[in-house]
Amino acid sequence: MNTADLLTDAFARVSETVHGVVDGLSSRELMARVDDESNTIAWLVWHLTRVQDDHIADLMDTDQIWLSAGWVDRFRLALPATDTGYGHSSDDVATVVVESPDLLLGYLDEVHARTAHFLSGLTDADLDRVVDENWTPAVTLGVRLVSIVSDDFQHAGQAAFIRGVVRRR
Amino acid sequence: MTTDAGRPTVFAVVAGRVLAVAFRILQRFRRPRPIHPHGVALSGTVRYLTSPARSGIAFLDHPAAAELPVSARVSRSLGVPAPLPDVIGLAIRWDGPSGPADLALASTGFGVPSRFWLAAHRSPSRARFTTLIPYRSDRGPVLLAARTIGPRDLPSEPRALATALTGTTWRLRLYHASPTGHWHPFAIVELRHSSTTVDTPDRFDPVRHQLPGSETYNWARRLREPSYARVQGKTS
Repeated sequence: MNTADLLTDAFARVSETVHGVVDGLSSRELMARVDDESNTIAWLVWHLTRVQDDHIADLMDTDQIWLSAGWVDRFRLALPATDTGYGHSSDDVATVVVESPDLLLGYLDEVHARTAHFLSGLTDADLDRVVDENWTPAVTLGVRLVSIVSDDFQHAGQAAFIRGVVRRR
Repeated sequence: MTTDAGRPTVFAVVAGRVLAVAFRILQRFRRPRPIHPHGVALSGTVRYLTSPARSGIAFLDHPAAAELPVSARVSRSLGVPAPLPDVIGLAIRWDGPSGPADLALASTGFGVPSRFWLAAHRSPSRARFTTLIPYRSDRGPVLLAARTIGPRDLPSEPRALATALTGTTWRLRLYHASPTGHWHPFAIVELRHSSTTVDTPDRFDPVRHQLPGSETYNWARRLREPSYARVQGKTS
Protein backbone atom coordinates (compact mmCIF):
# COMPACT_ATOMS: atom_id res chain seq x y z
CA MET A 1 0.00 0.00 0.00
CA ASN A 2 1.45 3.36 -0.98
CA THR A 3 0.54 6.80 0.36
CA ALA A 4 -2.14 7.41 -2.25
CA ASP A 5 -3.74 4.06 -1.36
CA LEU A 6 -3.68 5.01 2.31
CA LEU A 7 -5.35 8.35 1.68
CA THR A 8 -7.88 6.77 -0.66
CA ASP A 9 -8.85 4.31 2.05
CA ALA A 10 -9.12 7.10 4.63
CA PHE A 11 -11.46 9.15 2.45
CA ALA A 12 -13.52 6.04 1.66
CA ARG A 13 -13.94 5.49 5.39
CA VAL A 14 -15.11 9.07 5.83
CA SER A 15 -17.82 8.36 3.29
CA GLU A 16 -18.73 5.04 4.88
CA THR A 17 -18.93 6.63 8.33
CA VAL A 18 -21.19 9.41 7.10
CA HIS A 19 -23.45 6.97 5.29
CA GLY A 20 -23.80 5.02 8.51
CA VAL A 21 -24.58 8.16 10.49
CA VAL A 22 -27.35 9.56 8.31
CA ASP A 23 -28.85 6.34 7.00
CA GLY A 24 -32.50 6.12 7.95
CA LEU A 25 -32.70 9.49 9.68
CA SER A 26 -35.82 11.60 9.38
CA SER A 27 -35.78 15.28 8.55
CA ARG A 28 -36.51 16.02 12.20
CA GLU A 29 -33.52 13.95 13.30
CA LEU A 30 -31.24 15.56 10.71
CA MET A 31 -32.19 18.98 12.09
CA ALA A 32 -32.12 18.01 15.78
CA ARG A 33 -29.85 19.86 18.22
CA VAL A 34 -28.40 18.54 21.43
CA ASP A 35 -28.82 22.01 22.93
CA ASP A 36 -29.79 25.44 21.62
CA GLU A 37 -26.34 26.21 20.22
CA SER A 38 -25.10 22.87 18.94
CA ASN A 39 -24.66 21.92 15.32
CA THR A 40 -27.13 19.66 13.57
CA ILE A 41 -26.32 16.42 11.77
CA ALA A 42 -27.46 18.05 8.53
CA TRP A 43 -25.11 20.98 9.02
CA LEU A 44 -22.15 18.78 10.02
CA VAL A 45 -22.47 16.49 7.01
CA TRP A 46 -23.10 19.38 4.64
CA HIS A 47 -20.10 21.28 6.04
CA LEU A 48 -17.64 18.37 5.97
CA THR A 49 -18.62 17.70 2.35
CA ARG A 50 -18.35 21.36 1.43
CA VAL A 51 -14.86 21.52 2.95
CA GLN A 52 -13.73 18.44 1.04
CA ASP A 53 -15.26 19.76 -2.17
CA ASP A 54 -13.76 23.24 -1.74
CA HIS A 55 -10.28 22.08 -0.77
CA ILE A 56 -9.93 19.29 -3.34
CA ALA A 57 -11.24 21.56 -6.09
CA ASP A 58 -8.64 24.12 -5.06
CA LEU A 59 -5.88 21.50 -5.17
CA MET A 60 -7.04 20.38 -8.60
CA ASP A 61 -7.53 23.96 -9.79
CA THR A 62 -11.04 23.12 -10.89
CA ASP A 63 -14.62 24.07 -10.02
CA GLN A 64 -16.39 22.91 -6.89
CA ILE A 65 -18.92 20.16 -7.56
CA TRP A 66 -21.31 22.20 -5.39
CA LEU A 67 -21.38 24.83 -8.11
CA SER A 68 -20.51 22.97 -11.32
CA ALA A 69 -22.92 20.06 -10.81
CA GLY A 70 -25.80 22.15 -9.49
CA TRP A 71 -25.90 20.92 -5.90
CA VAL A 72 -26.22 24.51 -4.75
CA ASP A 73 -29.58 24.62 -6.58
CA ARG A 74 -30.75 21.30 -5.17
CA PHE A 75 -30.03 22.27 -1.57
CA ARG A 76 -31.52 25.78 -2.03
CA LEU A 77 -29.97 27.10 1.18
CA ALA A 78 -30.36 30.70 2.26
CA LEU A 79 -26.60 31.18 2.16
CA PRO A 80 -24.09 32.61 -0.31
CA ALA A 81 -23.38 30.12 -3.09
CA THR A 82 -19.74 29.70 -2.13
CA ASP A 83 -20.36 29.32 1.61
CA THR A 84 -18.68 26.27 3.12
CA GLY A 85 -19.95 26.74 6.66
CA TYR A 86 -16.66 28.06 8.02
CA GLY A 87 -17.32 30.44 10.93
CA HIS A 88 -21.05 29.82 10.98
CA SER A 89 -23.13 31.10 13.88
CA SER A 90 -25.94 29.17 15.48
CA ASP A 91 -28.40 31.04 13.28
CA ASP A 92 -26.40 30.13 10.18
CA VAL A 93 -26.47 26.49 11.20
CA ALA A 94 -30.26 26.66 11.34
CA THR A 95 -30.39 27.75 7.69
CA VAL A 96 -28.98 24.42 6.54
CA VAL A 97 -32.34 22.71 6.21
CA VAL A 98 -32.26 19.25 4.66
CA GLU A 99 -35.35 17.10 4.21
CA SER A 100 -33.71 13.79 3.36
CA PRO A 101 -30.41 11.93 3.85
CA ASP A 102 -30.41 11.21 0.10
CA LEU A 103 -29.54 14.81 -0.73
CA LEU A 104 -26.60 14.87 1.67
CA LEU A 105 -25.33 11.48 0.54
CA GLY A 106 -25.78 12.26 -3.15
CA TYR A 107 -23.53 15.29 -2.81
CA LEU A 108 -21.03 13.43 -0.64
CA ASP A 109 -20.83 10.50 -3.10
CA GLU A 110 -20.04 12.84 -5.98
CA VAL A 111 -17.39 14.70 -4.01
CA HIS A 112 -15.87 11.45 -2.81
CA ALA A 113 -15.64 10.10 -6.36
CA ARG A 114 -13.75 13.21 -7.48
CA THR A 115 -11.45 13.00 -4.44
CA ALA A 116 -10.66 9.35 -5.22
CA HIS A 117 -9.89 10.33 -8.80
CA PHE A 118 -7.54 13.07 -7.62
CA LEU A 119 -5.75 10.77 -5.19
CA SER A 120 -5.29 8.09 -7.85
CA GLY A 121 -2.89 10.36 -9.71
CA LEU A 122 -0.68 11.20 -6.74
CA THR A 123 2.87 10.04 -6.17
CA ASP A 124 4.76 10.36 -2.92
CA ALA A 125 6.84 13.16 -4.46
CA ASP A 126 3.67 15.19 -5.05
CA LEU A 127 2.91 15.29 -1.34
CA ASP A 128 5.83 17.64 -0.64
CA ARG A 129 4.54 20.27 -3.05
CA VAL A 130 3.67 23.52 -1.26
CA VAL A 131 0.02 24.37 -1.86
CA ASP A 132 -0.55 27.23 0.60
CA GLU A 133 2.04 29.80 1.66
CA ASN A 134 -0.31 31.67 3.99
CA TRP A 135 0.86 29.56 6.91
CA THR A 136 4.20 29.04 8.64
CA PRO A 137 5.48 26.57 7.78
CA ALA A 138 3.88 26.58 4.35
CA VAL A 139 1.23 23.90 3.83
CA THR A 140 2.22 21.00 1.60
CA LEU A 141 -0.19 18.84 -0.34
CA GLY A 142 0.31 15.97 2.11
CA VAL A 143 -0.46 18.17 5.10
CA ARG A 144 -3.52 19.64 3.38
CA LEU A 145 -4.93 16.19 2.58
CA VAL A 146 -4.42 14.97 6.14
CA SER A 147 -6.05 18.18 7.37
CA ILE A 148 -9.12 17.53 5.21
CA VAL A 149 -9.37 13.93 6.42
CA SER A 150 -8.99 15.07 10.02
CA ASP A 151 -11.70 17.73 9.63
CA ASP A 152 -14.04 15.28 7.93
CA PHE A 153 -13.58 12.58 10.57
CA GLN A 154 -14.09 15.03 13.43
CA HIS A 155 -17.38 16.24 11.98
CA ALA A 156 -18.49 12.73 11.07
CA GLY A 157 -17.80 11.67 14.66
CA GLN A 158 -19.73 14.64 16.01
CA ALA A 159 -22.66 13.74 13.77
CA ALA A 160 -22.49 10.14 14.98
CA PHE A 161 -22.59 11.37 18.58
CA ILE A 162 -25.67 13.50 17.89
CA ARG A 163 -27.36 10.57 16.19
CA GLY A 164 -26.77 8.50 19.31
CA VAL A 165 -28.21 11.20 21.54
CA VAL A 166 -31.23 11.78 19.30
CA ARG A 167 -32.01 8.09 19.01
CA ARG A 168 -31.92 7.69 22.80
CA ARG A 169 -34.38 10.45 23.48
CA MET B 1 -18.80 -10.68 -27.79
CA THR B 2 -15.32 -12.09 -27.63
CA THR B 3 -12.13 -11.08 -29.27
CA ASP B 4 -9.13 -12.84 -30.67
CA ALA B 5 -6.93 -9.94 -29.62
CA GLY B 6 -6.42 -11.74 -26.31
CA ARG B 7 -4.94 -14.87 -27.83
CA PRO B 8 -6.02 -17.92 -25.85
CA THR B 9 -3.14 -19.61 -24.16
CA VAL B 10 -2.71 -23.31 -23.76
CA PHE B 11 -2.84 -22.72 -20.05
CA ALA B 12 -6.29 -21.11 -20.21
CA VAL B 13 -7.67 -23.93 -22.36
CA VAL B 14 -6.27 -26.62 -20.08
CA ALA B 15 -7.30 -24.80 -16.92
CA GLY B 16 -10.79 -24.25 -18.32
CA ARG B 17 -11.19 -27.95 -19.02
CA VAL B 18 -9.83 -28.91 -15.62
CA LEU B 19 -12.34 -26.57 -13.97
CA ALA B 20 -15.17 -28.02 -16.07
CA VAL B 21 -14.24 -31.56 -14.99
CA ALA B 22 -14.03 -30.49 -11.37
CA PHE B 23 -17.44 -28.85 -11.59
CA ARG B 24 -18.90 -31.95 -13.28
CA ILE B 25 -17.71 -34.10 -10.38
CA LEU B 26 -19.04 -31.60 -7.86
CA GLN B 27 -22.36 -31.49 -9.66
CA ARG B 28 -22.91 -35.19 -9.00
CA PHE B 29 -23.14 -34.36 -5.32
CA ARG B 30 -24.60 -30.92 -5.54
CA ARG B 31 -27.49 -30.08 -7.81
CA PRO B 32 -28.35 -27.88 -9.46
CA ARG B 33 -25.44 -25.62 -8.53
CA PRO B 34 -22.07 -27.27 -7.78
CA ILE B 35 -20.73 -23.98 -6.46
CA HIS B 36 -22.58 -21.03 -5.00
CA PRO B 37 -25.28 -23.56 -4.05
CA HIS B 38 -27.27 -21.27 -1.78
CA GLY B 39 -27.83 -17.59 -2.18
CA VAL B 40 -30.10 -14.69 -1.46
CA ALA B 41 -32.12 -12.90 -4.12
CA LEU B 42 -31.82 -9.14 -3.99
CA SER B 43 -33.19 -6.21 -5.91
CA GLY B 44 -32.43 -2.54 -5.94
CA THR B 45 -30.85 0.26 -7.91
CA VAL B 46 -27.55 1.45 -9.30
CA ARG B 47 -27.04 5.20 -9.06
CA TYR B 48 -24.28 6.46 -11.33
CA LEU B 49 -21.79 9.09 -10.23
CA THR B 50 -20.44 11.77 -12.53
CA SER B 51 -16.94 10.40 -12.10
CA PRO B 52 -14.25 12.11 -14.14
CA ALA B 53 -12.52 8.75 -14.67
CA ARG B 54 -13.85 6.64 -17.54
CA SER B 55 -13.74 2.85 -17.46
CA GLY B 56 -13.76 2.44 -21.23
CA ILE B 57 -16.96 0.34 -21.00
CA ALA B 58 -19.73 2.32 -22.65
CA PHE B 59 -22.49 0.66 -20.61
CA LEU B 60 -20.94 2.05 -17.42
CA ASP B 61 -19.59 5.34 -18.75
CA HIS B 62 -22.78 6.37 -20.54
CA PRO B 63 -25.69 4.76 -18.66
CA ALA B 64 -29.21 5.04 -20.04
CA ALA B 65 -30.32 6.89 -16.90
CA ALA B 66 -28.78 8.31 -13.75
CA GLU B 67 -30.36 5.47 -11.81
CA LEU B 68 -31.24 1.98 -13.08
CA PRO B 69 -33.00 -0.98 -11.46
CA VAL B 70 -31.00 -4.17 -10.91
CA SER B 71 -31.46 -7.63 -9.49
CA ALA B 72 -28.69 -9.44 -7.66
CA ARG B 73 -27.69 -12.62 -5.88
CA VAL B 74 -25.21 -12.97 -3.04
CA SER B 75 -23.95 -16.45 -2.24
CA ARG B 76 -21.34 -18.51 -0.45
CA SER B 77 -19.27 -20.20 -3.14
CA LEU B 78 -18.26 -23.40 -1.42
CA GLY B 79 -21.38 -23.49 0.68
CA VAL B 80 -19.63 -24.44 3.90
CA PRO B 81 -21.91 -23.75 6.85
CA ALA B 82 -21.84 -20.32 8.49
CA PRO B 83 -20.16 -18.98 10.55
CA LEU B 84 -17.22 -20.59 8.78
CA PRO B 85 -15.63 -18.16 6.33
CA ASP B 86 -16.32 -18.71 2.64
CA VAL B 87 -15.56 -17.01 -0.64
CA ILE B 88 -18.58 -14.81 -1.23
CA GLY B 89 -20.06 -14.17 -4.64
CA LEU B 90 -22.09 -11.14 -5.66
CA ALA B 91 -23.80 -11.12 -9.05
CA ILE B 92 -25.62 -8.06 -10.35
CA ARG B 93 -27.96 -8.00 -13.35
CA TRP B 94 -29.21 -5.09 -15.41
CA ASP B 95 -32.23 -5.95 -17.56
CA GLY B 96 -32.36 -3.96 -20.76
CA PRO B 97 -34.10 -4.06 -24.14
CA SER B 98 -31.23 -6.09 -25.59
CA GLY B 99 -31.33 -8.63 -22.76
CA PRO B 100 -29.63 -9.00 -19.41
CA ALA B 101 -26.17 -7.72 -18.60
CA ASP B 102 -24.45 -9.55 -15.75
CA LEU B 103 -21.61 -8.55 -13.49
CA ALA B 104 -20.08 -11.37 -11.42
CA LEU B 105 -17.90 -10.46 -8.46
CA ALA B 106 -16.11 -12.59 -5.88
CA SER B 107 -14.56 -11.69 -2.56
CA THR B 108 -10.90 -10.87 -3.01
CA GLY B 109 -8.37 -8.39 -1.79
CA PHE B 110 -8.34 -4.85 -3.14
CA GLY B 111 -4.62 -4.30 -3.57
CA VAL B 112 -2.11 -5.59 -6.08
CA PRO B 113 -1.84 -8.54 -6.43
CA SER B 114 -4.51 -9.48 -3.85
CA ARG B 115 -7.29 -8.26 -6.17
CA PHE B 116 -6.51 -11.33 -8.27
CA TRP B 117 -6.98 -13.97 -5.60
CA LEU B 118 -10.00 -15.16 -3.71
CA ALA B 119 -10.45 -14.35 -0.04
CA ALA B 120 -12.82 -16.04 2.40
CA HIS B 121 -14.97 -13.91 4.68
CA ARG B 122 -17.58 -14.39 7.38
CA SER B 123 -19.66 -11.37 6.41
CA PRO B 124 -20.48 -10.16 2.90
CA SER B 125 -20.31 -6.57 4.08
CA ARG B 126 -16.75 -7.07 5.32
CA ALA B 127 -15.66 -8.47 1.96
CA ARG B 128 -14.34 -6.53 -0.97
CA PHE B 129 -15.29 -7.85 -4.36
CA THR B 130 -13.61 -7.82 -7.76
CA THR B 131 -14.19 -9.45 -11.11
CA LEU B 132 -10.82 -11.23 -10.75
CA ILE B 133 -10.49 -11.33 -14.53
CA PRO B 134 -10.30 -8.07 -16.49
CA TYR B 135 -12.70 -7.04 -19.21
CA ARG B 136 -11.34 -5.76 -22.49
CA SER B 137 -12.45 -2.16 -22.89
CA ASP B 138 -11.70 0.78 -25.14
CA ARG B 139 -9.12 1.87 -22.59
CA GLY B 140 -7.50 -1.54 -22.22
CA PRO B 141 -8.01 -4.18 -19.54
CA VAL B 142 -10.33 -3.05 -16.76
CA LEU B 143 -11.36 -4.67 -13.50
CA LEU B 144 -14.62 -3.91 -11.73
CA ALA B 145 -15.08 -4.03 -7.99
CA ALA B 146 -17.46 -3.37 -5.12
CA ARG B 147 -16.91 -2.31 -1.53
CA THR B 148 -19.57 -2.04 1.15
CA ILE B 149 -20.50 1.39 2.43
CA GLY B 150 -22.86 -0.05 5.02
CA PRO B 151 -24.07 -1.78 7.09
CA ARG B 152 -20.92 -3.30 8.52
CA ASP B 153 -21.84 -6.72 9.82
CA LEU B 154 -24.32 -8.48 7.59
CA PRO B 155 -24.56 -12.22 8.24
CA SER B 156 -23.56 -14.57 5.44
CA GLU B 157 -25.93 -17.46 6.24
CA PRO B 158 -28.58 -17.09 3.51
CA ARG B 159 -31.72 -17.05 5.65
CA ALA B 160 -30.20 -14.71 8.20
CA LEU B 161 -28.94 -12.45 5.41
CA ALA B 162 -32.34 -12.42 3.71
CA THR B 163 -33.98 -11.44 6.98
CA ALA B 164 -31.43 -8.70 7.63
CA LEU B 165 -31.82 -7.25 4.14
CA THR B 166 -35.59 -7.23 4.42
CA GLY B 167 -35.32 -4.49 6.99
CA THR B 168 -32.21 -2.65 5.87
CA THR B 169 -30.44 -1.65 2.66
CA TRP B 170 -27.05 -3.02 1.66
CA ARG B 171 -25.19 -0.13 0.09
CA LEU B 172 -22.02 -0.67 -1.94
CA ARG B 173 -19.78 1.50 -4.06
CA LEU B 174 -18.77 0.21 -7.50
CA TYR B 175 -15.28 0.86 -8.85
CA HIS B 176 -13.24 0.34 -11.98
CA ALA B 177 -9.47 0.14 -12.31
CA SER B 178 -6.75 -1.01 -14.62
CA PRO B 179 -5.25 -4.32 -13.41
CA THR B 180 -2.61 -2.54 -11.32
CA GLY B 181 -4.24 0.89 -11.06
CA HIS B 182 -6.20 2.79 -8.47
CA TRP B 183 -9.89 2.16 -7.96
CA HIS B 184 -12.20 4.83 -9.34
CA PRO B 185 -15.72 4.90 -7.86
CA PHE B 186 -18.42 5.19 -10.51
CA ALA B 187 -21.72 4.14 -8.94
CA ILE B 188 -23.60 3.38 -5.74
CA VAL B 189 -25.60 0.15 -5.48
CA GLU B 190 -28.49 -0.25 -3.04
CA LEU B 191 -29.84 -3.76 -2.51
CA ARG B 192 -32.64 -5.25 -0.43
CA HIS B 193 -34.32 -8.62 -0.15
CA SER B 194 -37.95 -8.33 -1.17
CA SER B 195 -38.68 -11.76 -2.63
CA THR B 196 -41.00 -14.27 -1.00
CA THR B 197 -38.31 -16.92 -1.42
CA VAL B 198 -34.77 -16.62 -0.10
CA ASP B 199 -32.99 -17.61 -3.32
CA THR B 200 -33.62 -17.08 -7.02
CA PRO B 201 -33.57 -19.62 -9.85
CA ASP B 202 -31.93 -17.02 -12.10
CA ARG B 203 -28.49 -17.95 -13.40
CA PHE B 204 -26.00 -15.12 -13.78
CA ASP B 205 -23.49 -15.52 -16.61
CA PRO B 206 -21.05 -12.67 -17.26
CA VAL B 207 -19.67 -14.43 -20.34
CA ARG B 208 -22.96 -14.83 -22.19
CA HIS B 209 -24.57 -11.71 -20.75
CA GLN B 210 -21.70 -9.29 -21.14
CA LEU B 211 -21.86 -5.66 -20.19
CA PRO B 212 -22.46 -3.81 -23.47
CA GLY B 213 -19.28 -2.15 -24.65
CA SER B 214 -17.06 -4.68 -22.92
CA GLU B 215 -15.39 -7.74 -24.37
CA THR B 216 -14.06 -10.91 -22.85
CA TYR B 217 -10.47 -11.77 -23.57
CA ASN B 218 -10.35 -15.01 -25.46
CA TRP B 219 -8.13 -16.59 -22.82
CA ALA B 220 -10.67 -15.60 -20.18
CA ARG B 221 -13.54 -17.05 -22.18
CA ARG B 222 -11.60 -20.29 -22.63
CA LEU B 223 -10.99 -20.37 -18.92
CA ARG B 224 -14.54 -19.66 -17.76
CA GLU B 225 -16.91 -20.86 -20.45
CA PRO B 226 -16.55 -24.65 -20.03
CA SER B 227 -17.37 -24.50 -16.35
CA TYR B 228 -20.23 -22.05 -16.83
CA ALA B 229 -21.63 -24.31 -19.55
CA ARG B 230 -21.29 -27.29 -17.23
CA VAL B 231 -22.88 -25.60 -14.27
CA GLN B 232 -25.69 -24.03 -16.24
CA GLY B 233 -26.38 -26.99 -18.50
CA LYS B 234 -25.37 -25.33 -21.74
CA THR B 235 -22.99 -26.35 -24.48
CA SER B 236 -20.03 -24.09 -25.08
